[in-house]
Amino acid sequence: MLEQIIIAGSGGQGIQFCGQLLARAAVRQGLEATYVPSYGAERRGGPSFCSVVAADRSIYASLFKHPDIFLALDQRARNQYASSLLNAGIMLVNTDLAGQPATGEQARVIGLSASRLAEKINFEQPPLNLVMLGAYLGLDRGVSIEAVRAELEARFAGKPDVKQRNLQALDLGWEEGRSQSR
Amino acid sequence: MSAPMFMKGNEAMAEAAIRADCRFYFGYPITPQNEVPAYMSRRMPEAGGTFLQAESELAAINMVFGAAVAGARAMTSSSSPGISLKQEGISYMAACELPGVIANIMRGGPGLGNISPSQSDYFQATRGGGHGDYRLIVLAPHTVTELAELTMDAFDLADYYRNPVMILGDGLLGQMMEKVEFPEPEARRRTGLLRGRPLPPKDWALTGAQGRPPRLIRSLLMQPGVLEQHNFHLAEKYARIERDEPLAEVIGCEDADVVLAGFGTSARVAKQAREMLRARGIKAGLFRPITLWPFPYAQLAAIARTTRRFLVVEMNLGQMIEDVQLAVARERSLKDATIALLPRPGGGVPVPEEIVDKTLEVLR
Amino acid sequence: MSRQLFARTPGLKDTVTTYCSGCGHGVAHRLLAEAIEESGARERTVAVAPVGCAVYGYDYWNFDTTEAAHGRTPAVAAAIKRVLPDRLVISYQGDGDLASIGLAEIMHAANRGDRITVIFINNTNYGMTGGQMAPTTLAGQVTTTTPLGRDSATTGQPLKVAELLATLPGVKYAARGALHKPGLVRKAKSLIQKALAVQEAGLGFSVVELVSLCPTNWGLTTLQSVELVEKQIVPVFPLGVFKDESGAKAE
Repeated sequence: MLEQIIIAGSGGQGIQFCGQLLARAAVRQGLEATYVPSYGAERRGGPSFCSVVAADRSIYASLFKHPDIFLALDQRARNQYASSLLNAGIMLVNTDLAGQPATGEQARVIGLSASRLAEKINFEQPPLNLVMLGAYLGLDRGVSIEAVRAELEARFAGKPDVKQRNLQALDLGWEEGRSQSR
Repeated sequence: MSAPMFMKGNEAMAEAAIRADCRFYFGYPITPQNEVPAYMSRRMPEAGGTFLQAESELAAINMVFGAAVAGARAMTSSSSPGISLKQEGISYMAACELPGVIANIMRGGPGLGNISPSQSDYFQATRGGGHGDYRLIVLAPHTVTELAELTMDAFDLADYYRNPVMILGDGLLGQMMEKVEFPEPEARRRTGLLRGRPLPPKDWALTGAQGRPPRLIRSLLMQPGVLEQHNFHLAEKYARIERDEPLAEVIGCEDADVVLAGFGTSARVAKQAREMLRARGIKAGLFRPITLWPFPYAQLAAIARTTRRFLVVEMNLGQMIEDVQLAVARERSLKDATIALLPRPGGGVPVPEEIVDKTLEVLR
Repeated sequence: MSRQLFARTPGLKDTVTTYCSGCGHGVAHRLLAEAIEESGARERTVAVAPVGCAVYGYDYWNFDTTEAAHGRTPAVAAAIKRVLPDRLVISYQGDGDLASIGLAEIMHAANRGDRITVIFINNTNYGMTGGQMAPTTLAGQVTTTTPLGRDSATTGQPLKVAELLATLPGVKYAARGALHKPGLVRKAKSLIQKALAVQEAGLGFSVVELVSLCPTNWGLTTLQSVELVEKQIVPVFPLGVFKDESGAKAE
């Protein structure tokens, strides 16, 4: 199993946290994983993007040309990266902010109203990134939701409210991902 | 081995230094290695050491010089433009035979360049960089765990040879996060580059001449013939290092029709390309020097006995390729060999597909 | 009938800056550009940009600009002025560039009395690299390299550049202003105008230090930042004119 994942959106959407979480969870599960951040020049509101590889063997290339999976949190991200996925790739799209197809898209699109789902959990600071991550885990591609839950438990052990909301967001996304992947 | 952790390269390097008993760190902010001073500012005091943010990279290397003079294990880190500033200090350390570790997390250059990963300081690191006849031991890791291991080795080799040692990383290795296993320092002194050799006492360090004649550390040698003698003494040391320390990773070269050569991140990507080529029935090998100085010429020359096609993959305009040519020329005429280059200067990181494509071109 | 009361100065390019919201650079750029343009000097101006957030100053300033290596800006400016003595030469620098790595360069340019004008933006940290300690960081201030707050016993007190430079005979004008209130913004412009006039009259070195804001690295909102400047930073970095040998009437 070798999965090359891109998560992209804007600064402030928790892209980097999400990528790190996924990579840590994969390692917790006994897989190999790499996480590489990437930032635009602006400190706020600029593009934010990360590359994650999860595999059951040594990882040599932590950056790649054709992601297998792309989590598109907003339209700018979709416009920029969607065409890099080949036919066999899967794009999880936040239809609330990234609903427009981009030129050159050929991968399968799984859309979910992630912003709205996230706002249901916390309107002020919607955990959009975790809803999207949950949806990816619902596709059951190798990294288990249990591992991610365990990471969240460990990370937010001292903050039960935040932990609860994050776990909820993850589960909401997971349900969506599972139902759409059947 | 301690339990695996998941860490950023820059932070793993800092942690490894502390586990190797480095208790003095001097640095200055520059992207993409800012996590090093930030981590050190927190962790050094915890470990009972000293962190000092210097006023510049120039001051920082001179602080490393000072800590070394006083007998301590000290480190500085920076990225390309900042390493340029350190060259004078490094030359002084080599001249005075002082141990110290300098980490270069390379970014795109020349000039202010950009903050993306590159390998364009290979010449600077291995050909001197600073003035005069001296050599720097240069270690090039390709994974975060290897970065941690070689950082620990760097302190041991610096003390063993009384010479500055450089860790040559790049912005990708520095910024990425992956699993890292820190070796137990005791065990690493046996299994790492020190190979269990006893470290000489620092009986040259300046600690105050109590009950002993005063010691002197200097590199100004004005008396006729003295500097020449000192240079030959250094040369003798470097010859020993060239004899005893070269190290390379060699994969699948025994039957190879083409050998991919690279160091650090580009070699890691080339590992993937090699597997992809083999899967297509192409006999590809990989040569990855771990010590860039001393360069493992003999190991590469041995490969050149049976392989005549090489593709050097570097994130620069072609620097290590000159050492590849020198190695191959020991075994065959360069007219008989193909030594191609896949250059990625200015902050680009190659992907396996482009290495595969270029290899196929070389084989045509 | 409407009347245009305010417009973008021709001293700035017609573009949007990418500075963080609440950052003082945008305001400082405008004041400098207005002062230059209004004195008719735009096409005679050569500026030197620092390494720091304002490295991209040339994307906004509508005059000739060169980058310099980190901290070397005054040395580069000094040479430009010697080659082109009748041009208006500006060195625009931040905390790291001027007060840390470039301390030798600024002291010597000032001591030589180089006929350049230095605009020094003081926001008590290194912005571009993510908020490390600067020489201007306040005692006790938390930064990414002073996680427990700046310990003055081992890292010193905040460095007061305007006062330091004012002690040198080659410096003919040294002032400190601020950018967090409208009245102070207007005052800052007049400080810059005086400084430029000192250069134009060939009198010597001029410097205007501007206490600025960095909400992003301070971890505050812009309004909180304004309060921080007022309550904690200005008391440490007093505003005023520390030297004025311009011969013009006092403010």
